[in-house]
Amino acid sequence: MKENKRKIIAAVVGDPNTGKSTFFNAWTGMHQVTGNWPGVTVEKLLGQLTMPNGDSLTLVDLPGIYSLHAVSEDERVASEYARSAEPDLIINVIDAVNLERNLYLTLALAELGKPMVAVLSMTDILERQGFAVDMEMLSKRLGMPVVTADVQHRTKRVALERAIEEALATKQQLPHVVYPESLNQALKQAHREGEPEVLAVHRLEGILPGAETIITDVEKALGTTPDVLIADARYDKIAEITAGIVKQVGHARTELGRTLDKFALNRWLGIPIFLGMMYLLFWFTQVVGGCFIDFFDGLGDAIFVTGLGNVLTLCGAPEWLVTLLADGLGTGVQTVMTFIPPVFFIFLGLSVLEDSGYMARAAYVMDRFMRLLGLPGSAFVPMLVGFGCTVPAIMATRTLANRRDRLLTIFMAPFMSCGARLPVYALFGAAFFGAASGTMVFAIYMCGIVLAVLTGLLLKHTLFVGDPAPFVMELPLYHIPRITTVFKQAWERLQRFLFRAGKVLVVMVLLLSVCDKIMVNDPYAEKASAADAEPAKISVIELVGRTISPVFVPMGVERENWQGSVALIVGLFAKEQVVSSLNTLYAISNSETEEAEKEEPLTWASAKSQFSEGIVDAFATIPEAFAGLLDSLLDPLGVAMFKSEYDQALRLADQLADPSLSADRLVGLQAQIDDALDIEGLHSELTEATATKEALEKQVAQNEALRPQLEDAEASLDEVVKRLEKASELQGLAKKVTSGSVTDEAGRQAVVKAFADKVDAYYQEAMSEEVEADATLMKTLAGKFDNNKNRAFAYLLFVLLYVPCLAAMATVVREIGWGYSSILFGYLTVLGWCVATLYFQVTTGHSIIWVVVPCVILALVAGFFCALGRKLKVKLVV
Amino acid sequence: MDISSMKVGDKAEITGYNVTRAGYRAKLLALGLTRGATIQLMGVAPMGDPLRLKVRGFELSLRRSEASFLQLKAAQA
Repeated sequence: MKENKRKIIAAVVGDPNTGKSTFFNAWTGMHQVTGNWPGVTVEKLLGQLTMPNGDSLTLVDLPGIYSLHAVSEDERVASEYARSAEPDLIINVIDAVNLERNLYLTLALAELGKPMVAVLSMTDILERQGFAVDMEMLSKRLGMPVVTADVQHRTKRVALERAIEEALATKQQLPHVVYPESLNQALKQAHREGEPEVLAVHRLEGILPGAETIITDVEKALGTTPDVLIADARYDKIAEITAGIVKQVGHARTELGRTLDKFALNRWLGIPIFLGMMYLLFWFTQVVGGCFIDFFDGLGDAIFVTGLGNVLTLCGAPEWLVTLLADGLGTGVQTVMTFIPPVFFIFLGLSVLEDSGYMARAAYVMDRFMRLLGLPGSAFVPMLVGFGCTVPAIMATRTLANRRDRLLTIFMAPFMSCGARLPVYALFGAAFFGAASGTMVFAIYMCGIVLAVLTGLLLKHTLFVGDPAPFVMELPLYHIPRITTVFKQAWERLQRFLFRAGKVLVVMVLLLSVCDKIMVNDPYAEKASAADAEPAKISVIELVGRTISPVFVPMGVERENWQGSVALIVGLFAKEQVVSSLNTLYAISNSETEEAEKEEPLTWASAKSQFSEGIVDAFATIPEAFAGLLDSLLDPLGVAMFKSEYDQALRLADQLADPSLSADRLVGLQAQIDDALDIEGLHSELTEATATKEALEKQVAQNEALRPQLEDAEASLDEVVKRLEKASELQGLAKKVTSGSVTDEAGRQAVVKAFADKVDAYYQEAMSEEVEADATLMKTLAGKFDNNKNRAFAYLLFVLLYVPCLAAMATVVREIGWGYSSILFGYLTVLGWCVATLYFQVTTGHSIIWVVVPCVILALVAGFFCALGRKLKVKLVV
Repeated sequence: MDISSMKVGDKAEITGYNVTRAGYRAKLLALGLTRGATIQLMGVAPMGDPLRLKVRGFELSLRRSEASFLQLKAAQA
């Protein structure tokens, strides 16, 4: 029996915005396979189903098209596949609300001569407008079965399956468009022996090449091109088919969409509403999505870095293998994981905007503005997302249909200064600019925007010459997005990011981490520590950074400040790491490394507890982050970053003033306050710190070299004692009420007030201590940069402009391939160097050579783009 | 008549086409902007461009300069 089962391949074709994806998802459910069309970045979606009679049915979901005449990349994929020999059957999704226009594609598909089934979507919306399609008559006139798209209902699904069987079993009488007699001659000329006649029509339409002279002949003879005549004939046929087919069945309800558009597309409100929507998207991606970043970061570390490293070490793996797998590969996987939240949330947000119909309106509102750069209005969205993170910004360019537009947008997106660069600006701002640091940060952002615009203009006239794609955009009716469709779409796109960009990213991070871990002899340290028997060791990254540091001299990073150039290389992991890297390199005490050194010997038990702690900690970050969500709504940029560690205790202490508290509640409250103050934790810390100190004291008696460690231990013991003192004092205050020694109203109030005052005082104290600790870094930093604001600003310009972090690079490579990616990365770095050098030399260096050199380099870059653009022109323009 | 001379709410009938890129014309033809079809100007974007047209029951957005390839004749509103 098995041999009799057929394998049917069906192409699912339809106009854009017909609800085709919803239909496809409802029908295929979980039985989907994703892939890519060969040679292009267009996504390929397959559905695998079994028909009731046992035949296997493969559904190929094609990008939406209005006709077989393709302009953009995904249109070409759809048109070529529909016209190819592969599909046995065409399932045409038709939007009942726009029946006329949708039938244009139907007629073009019918000419291909393959079995067809029509699936009518949006029938519910048509009904709400007070109309219904006479499906029986439509089926008769089209010569193919017509069913509705709501296949989530079993009966409708059965009807669809029956329609497919019927279409395959019978010889269909598909509608035949009669072309005007004046075209007969041309059609005959365009026809080639042994071919289906439809190919002649395609040639005259310009879908296929080879009839250019015939087309000009027709134009000369008839005064109009054949495609116009063909379209006329098709629409005449459509008028015939649709005559009397849509019947009024009720009264139209008021159109909400019309009202919404009155605001969304309004001359005055349109742009503010657009900016508001963008702010929401931004907030959703950065803040809500951001709540999960620490979770994935912690989880990735617990499993792939620390966890994997411990297991390997315990299994007795050699150190190089542990470094390679845990620190290299593990860190790579961890880095990919931290991008899951922003990428998923941006896609979720974009899917909602697309599905609801707002995206087309956003493009409409912003088109005039973006056209200055030769881009369509929709290119504004990725740019804006870029201020949050470059990775989702680059992924968001997928909404642009035209390849040239996508490339240009991807080239401009890295200029939008992402959130990870902000800590670097903040540090330099505090060290050099003081009160003016806000202005300085604003200036950096503006530099990014200005350079993006200049880059856009440069590329528009050189690398990506040619007219931008003409702007034809349907403004679909508003829809309430379907949650399942939106989530599924976001999930699919996330998977693509993980498996494609992820692959490149893991390799990149692996290489860089290994370079960070491999220690080599430090050639620069010889003179300084010649007396030592053992030569100093530095990592390969440091070595490379020090070796290339002369390159950065013209932009104001002197050789003695080689740490500055090393930090730039470390910044490739993520730009904010420039800060921590400078911190370490300037040899300012780094508590993290100290803690790591104090670790106990590794056992299976300790590895296990470390692992479960890591997982628990990771989960704990989510509620913590969400608790801060409300604050961020009011303070999205995180201005009020510092919060007192006693906040929770303070909130609890406020309740002490309430005279109606029962004795039980008072005891409970005291326990809660103790918890918030972490009294128990501090006590055990104290025991531990005392033990460490005592142990070291004994060791120091024998080995004087350990004295610095003892000093550290003493310092941390002191700190614990101080913290415990403060906590105990607060605890004592609260106890006055909870133990019942203060009962009267005024006394309670006084205790609450005293509590709040104490917390305030501690907070102030902690703040000033923090500032002091940072002050050491800032002082060193300022010294290294010669106390020169311009030097610092030049450095920041370079941080803004040079290649984005590895994750962004991997995403770019995945989206546009290595060729264009190399051009982009090279351009960014060269531009960064030139801009920083020019700035530094003009303001401070005053060296004519170093003003001329960047100018020459920039001119050469422009020339290179120009030459390359001419060569590539053919490939880009369609 | 050119599309730029239309006011919001005006209707016009397509009578022919000026020279333009083949891909653009093909797209507009597929969308139903054939000869004899009626278009109505529904609105103008905040910065004066693009335009919002209604044709065959749905709304479409086109740039002023690009849409001027449509040859039009005024139709009664």
